Amino acid sequence: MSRIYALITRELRTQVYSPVAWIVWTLFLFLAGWFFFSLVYQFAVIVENTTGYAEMMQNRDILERLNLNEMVIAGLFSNFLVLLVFLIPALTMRSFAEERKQGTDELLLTAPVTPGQLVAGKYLGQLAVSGVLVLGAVFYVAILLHYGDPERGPIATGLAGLALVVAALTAIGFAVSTLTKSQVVAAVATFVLFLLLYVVDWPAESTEGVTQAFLKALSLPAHFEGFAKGNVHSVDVVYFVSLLAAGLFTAKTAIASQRWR
Amino acid sequence: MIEVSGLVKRYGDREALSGVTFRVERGEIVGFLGPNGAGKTTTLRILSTFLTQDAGEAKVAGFDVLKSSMDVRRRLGYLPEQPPLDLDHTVREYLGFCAALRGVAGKARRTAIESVVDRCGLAPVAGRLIGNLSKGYRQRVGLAQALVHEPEVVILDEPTIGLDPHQIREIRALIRGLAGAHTVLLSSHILPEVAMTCSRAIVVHRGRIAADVPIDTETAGRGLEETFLRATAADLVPEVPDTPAEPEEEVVS
Repeated sequence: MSRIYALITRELRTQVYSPVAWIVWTLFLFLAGWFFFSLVYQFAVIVENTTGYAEMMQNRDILERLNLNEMVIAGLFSNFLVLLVFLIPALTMRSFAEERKQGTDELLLTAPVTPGQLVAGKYLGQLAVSGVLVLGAVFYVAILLHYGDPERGPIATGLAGLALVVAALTAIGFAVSTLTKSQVVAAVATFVLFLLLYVVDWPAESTEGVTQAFLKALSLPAHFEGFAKGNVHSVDVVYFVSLLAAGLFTAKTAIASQRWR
Repeated sequence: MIEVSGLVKRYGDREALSGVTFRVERGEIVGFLGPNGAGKTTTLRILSTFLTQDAGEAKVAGFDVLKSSMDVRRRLGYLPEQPPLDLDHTVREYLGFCAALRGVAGKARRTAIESVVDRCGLAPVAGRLIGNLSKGYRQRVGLAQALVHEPEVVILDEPTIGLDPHQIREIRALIRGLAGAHTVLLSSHILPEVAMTCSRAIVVHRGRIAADVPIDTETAGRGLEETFLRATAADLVPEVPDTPAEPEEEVVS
């Protein structure tokens, strides 16, 4: 346990001492802020126009149909997902590729730690760094809660969904980073993989049967949608947990097999 | 303490080791000598459990490197050819991590760090980032990393490379001081290096042991150089037998 703790501490230190984590956190806050602003601004304009219309028609019920949850929060969470697809590769690219390049893998792999402990320590350290992005999302949601009165349920599931996405994507990014010596290769390969998961069901509408079901089953946004709308299915949870497990398993296998080259 | 027999390692078609056999007794300091590309680093990497052999056996501190690699790692301090340093950490942070990774906990860790900082002459730079240190200091941090947990067996791959003469002398003294309490196997392609620090030299050439000679007043200096040159001039020693004992006699006599 103390060895895993040592690995987590070192990972955090490495990340926080390097500018990359700070740049990614800042970019996330900035871009998320921009999305937040545009969604809220749109909503305000619609409310204003509708208010005029409602007064003209002398019917206040129309206003009731404008829903902060559907029009702002669901959109906001979907935008957060896009940001994670772009930004998490930058956080995970370094994790093992840089160890290989600096030769520090020779230290880790000759120390009395098992590949499982190594993966656990490094992954949890990574997760703490990418988990900060979820805190960034909490910040914007808190503003909505302070000034508006959205439903709590979809917010809770949305944040839980974001946490799952971050955990799963971090695991995949980490796995890719164990397969190469180059940070750039790790970043590009991770990003391509994420993007593929993001767009994989685009042709689904024009297909049918098993093909369609298969494409939809792989899709990242399709499984996140429920979380953003407060309508979670267990299959969505299974999807993210499977990605997470596949990532960690790949990382562990790659690290364990390095000895046997 | 270290027993190696018939070690074979191939990288694709190229055979890096073709039957390396030697022993290192407890408390000895042995120099692993050979020209570049002879198979020194590969042998040390197998002993440190970083790589696995294709054939043959290796035991460190009585444990097989394949079957009980964790037991080997617990008793091992290893300085790879490229010191495995966290450049964006301070010397103390890094050594603390290395100690923790080897299971040195709590108060013992702090004592261990301070003691190794002292022994390796790192006190003036202990709070600085490793990335800002000179090559000599980095090499010493690498050495400190291999010693911080007081391992039984210390394996050093080119420990004095890139140091200035003054630092080399200090590191040599440090390594000589390890005799008795630690078993040390160090590689080098510099003859005087081995002559000055080790009690025995094992010469490896083209993946085989070409000579295994004790270093005393006779072999030190010119004698060792002759041994080395004769052992590594492949044409002069056309058939190098697999057992290390025979070439030793042949070369020394």
